[in-house]
Amino acid sequence: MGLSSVRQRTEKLSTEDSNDRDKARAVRARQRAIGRELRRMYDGVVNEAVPDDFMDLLRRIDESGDTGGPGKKIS
Amino acid sequence: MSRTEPTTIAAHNDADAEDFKSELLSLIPFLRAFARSLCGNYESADDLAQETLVKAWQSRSAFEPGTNLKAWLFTILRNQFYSDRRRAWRQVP
Repeated sequence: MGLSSVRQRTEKLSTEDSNDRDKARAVRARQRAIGRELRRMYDGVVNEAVPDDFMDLLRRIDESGDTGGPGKKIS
Repeated sequence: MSRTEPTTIAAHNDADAEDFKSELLSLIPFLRAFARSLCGNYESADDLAQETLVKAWQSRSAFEPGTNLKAWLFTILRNQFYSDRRRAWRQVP
């Protein structure tokens, strides 16, 4: 019996198993890639200069007349 | 004696408000980044971050000093994101 036929038999037996493993590995790899990309993007935005709208908003926020009194809840 | 109290408290609150505001200011980059990771779209992400700032300011008395302000803000942002999404889903048949 040649080496290749042994390999074929082994592959046949474990085809389902290895398919599942491959699938799981592919999912993990994809999630890692998404995670890396999100992290890269997140760090990129953190290091961006804050747009002027935000500064204007914080400057105007006092004039809204809200005193932040007690009993307010985050909705 | 008691007549000076209100002024003292008011001054104290003003100082607190200023502290809170400067902390908000320092956390804006993180809010924008978190919003961008949720929205993907530049403009709606910044809208979301700004809504969060306004909400946080209005609810500042609910924030417990000494706890993690960044985590508190991220919670507001995430809740806002979910409720915006729910609204959008309802509008699209």
